[in-house]
Amino acid sequence: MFGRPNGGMNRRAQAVVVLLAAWAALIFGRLIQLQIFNHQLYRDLAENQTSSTDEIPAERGAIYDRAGQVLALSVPVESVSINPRLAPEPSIAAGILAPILELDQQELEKKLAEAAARRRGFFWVKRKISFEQSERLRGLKLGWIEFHRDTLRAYPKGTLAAHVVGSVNFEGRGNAGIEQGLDGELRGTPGEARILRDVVRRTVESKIMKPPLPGKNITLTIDERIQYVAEKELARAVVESRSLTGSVVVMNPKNGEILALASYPQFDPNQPPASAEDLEKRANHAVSVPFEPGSVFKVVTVAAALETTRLTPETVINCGSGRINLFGRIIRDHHPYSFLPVADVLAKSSNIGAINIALTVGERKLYDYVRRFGFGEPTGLPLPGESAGKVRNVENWGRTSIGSVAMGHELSATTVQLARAVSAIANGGLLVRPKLILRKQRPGGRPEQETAPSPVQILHPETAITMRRLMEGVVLHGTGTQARLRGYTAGGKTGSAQIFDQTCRCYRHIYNSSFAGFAPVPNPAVVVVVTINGASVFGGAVAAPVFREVAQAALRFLDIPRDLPDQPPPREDSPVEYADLAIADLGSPAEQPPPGIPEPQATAALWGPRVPDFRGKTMRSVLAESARLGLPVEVAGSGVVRAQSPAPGSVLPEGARVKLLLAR
Amino acid sequence: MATQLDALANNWRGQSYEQASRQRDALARAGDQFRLPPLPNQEIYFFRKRIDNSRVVRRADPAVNARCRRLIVTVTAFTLMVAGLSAPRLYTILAGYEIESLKAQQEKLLAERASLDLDEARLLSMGNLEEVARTGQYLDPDPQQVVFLPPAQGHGTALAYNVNSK
Repeated sequence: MFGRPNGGMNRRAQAVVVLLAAWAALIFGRLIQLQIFNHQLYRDLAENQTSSTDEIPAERGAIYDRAGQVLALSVPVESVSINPRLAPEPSIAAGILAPILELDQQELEKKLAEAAARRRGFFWVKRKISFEQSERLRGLKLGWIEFHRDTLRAYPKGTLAAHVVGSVNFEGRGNAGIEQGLDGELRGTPGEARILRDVVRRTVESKIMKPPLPGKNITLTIDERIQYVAEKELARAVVESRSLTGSVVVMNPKNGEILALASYPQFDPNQPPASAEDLEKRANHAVSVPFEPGSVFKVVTVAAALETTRLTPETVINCGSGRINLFGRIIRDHHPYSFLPVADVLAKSSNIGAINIALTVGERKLYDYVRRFGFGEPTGLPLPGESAGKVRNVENWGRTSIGSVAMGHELSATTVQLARAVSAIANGGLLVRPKLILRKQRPGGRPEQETAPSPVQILHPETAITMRRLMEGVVLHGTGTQARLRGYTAGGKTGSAQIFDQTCRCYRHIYNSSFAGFAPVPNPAVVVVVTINGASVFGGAVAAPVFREVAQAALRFLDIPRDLPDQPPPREDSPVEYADLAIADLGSPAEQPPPGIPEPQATAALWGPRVPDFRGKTMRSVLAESARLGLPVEVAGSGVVRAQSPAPGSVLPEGARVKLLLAR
Repeated sequence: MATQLDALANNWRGQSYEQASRQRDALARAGDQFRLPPLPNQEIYFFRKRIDNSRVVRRADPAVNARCRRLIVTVTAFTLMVAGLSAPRLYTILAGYEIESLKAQQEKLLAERASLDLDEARLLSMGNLEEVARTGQYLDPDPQQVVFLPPAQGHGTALAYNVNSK
């Protein structure tokens, strides 16, 4: 009786149960899909709502000088942006922001109005604001102002060593100097952090997923004090001589460490370049701009002759009375000399003498020594745009090229290359590799000392010592008397290469005036090369004084013991032969002996005993020789003879004595 | 007291029961038998009955009291357990705020230190030191800046003083 209705009821109930079961199964299946199969996806989606992965910028390495003085430093700063859609009226926003950020209010208002009109959602107000400005803005607690972490690359010394240190662009990448050359090591690697934020975007928790790798701190071989003096003296010389550009390199000849590298004109790396003229100022003339070195190159010619021929410093060279016909090309000396010893060819910078010496050496050997001294190849400094200079292959030389190369023409070299070449003479014949990086060190890491390749012996030590003595003669009684130092012996060579004017296709009376020298002579501690480009005076007049001031300061800063008395011999007591001197490479009426250096005698004695060369001899041997020759001598100091008056070979006037200055 | 559904609806619209009742009665008197009521089944009446429990005496039931106490204890224990379990998480969140605040402070201090390092480097630059020395007259004066006074009577040495050029 109740079977049917009960059966119907059961079927309905069963249907409901089945439906409910299916529904539950669907829900359960969906749950399994969400919770198990798509677990990671939805977990990530959920996490993304509250957390984000932010990049942790790597701190750019600092740059120091050799004493630890900061030359470049990265300072954490903030940049300010606003959302123009959320910001109030442009006039109100500009009125709030401009006074704090030191911006032009009207200009900012105009830009904000323009951004709002374009419905932009982001607008940079000012990048890299100061700490105080950031604090003031934050104090306003305005939601439409956003702050972004940023980094300011600062150069606290301004223009000092700017050509070495370089600068960075707006992206923080190096665009000059070491900043560019070692950008990869300075920049480091950014890290990642997972940031968990609450509903008001406050950071609840941060977890560093990948720690940032900070850039390496670079310590340069530059000495800030020497660099300052070099830049100051260079700028003074260029301005006073109305030259165009200039460069100075101070190098330790023993290990190639560059103690100063100055280039003029200077620039401030804190200021981005605003014009093409600013970009020109960034050219590093010591490294990137080769020039014809001129008579400075006679050092290479004479060194090659001493190494490969039987010529000695005393060998007399025919100077052709100031004129030579070299395969149909007439070359003249500024001062005509008939015969000069090799030592005086260098001291008086005779072009004809240098050419005749080069002809004795021969083309191939001269070329070989030019290459041995490192010309024609970059020195390997980590500076961008280093020039290798230009040395033509000997097969491509013309018939008269040997004459040009002998006196520093038909090739080009940089100031750094010249410094390396002179270092080889100063250190006993070893060609060292110039070094600008003292060490690199990652914060918290171990210092990485820079290893330099072993120096190459390019000259016999005896030749190098002889060359040092010859170059000392240039300073004592040659064209480089303006380079004499107080308290130190010095050697060097002047150079004045005429600049070829492309417009008139001729040489004009403007010069690459240079001086390359070292001090003190017995054990050189510094090599200083000065180049003034576009000068109207010669190297002995404009570059040698810069050498004097820079070398004097460098030796003092480096605590090098003096090897001469502080005060030079009084003028009336130590007359020096000047009558037969060429004042500069090509003669310079502008050159005058520096204060403290005696004037030349008006008349020279014609009859009497010839004075031997006492230089480099000990007091014992001097006294023995003078006693044998019957010459009265007057000695001052101890050690070996550094200077003598009258000059070797000249006639000793009756009743006069040979005055000798000895020093260690 | 009975209440009709439409009266309730009217009450929601702001009409009183009396107004609604008067409207309904007026309609009935008008003999509008075919007018649809505002709501279906509006003839269902709800009654609110007043019950007087003043004479009811609660019988003492220790078992109920015990159950009540157990319930209170259980709820309290459960609450304490939940609080105990969630406290570390809460503390972690609060500590997270504190740590992030300290991190921000550390970054701020590092930025300040870098700024001070920069100022120090600027002050120690050779150009600045030379300027300080020049303005403070710590440098040897130029020869033209030194004025020698004639020696005083009985004294062999002359006095000299430095003339500040600018």
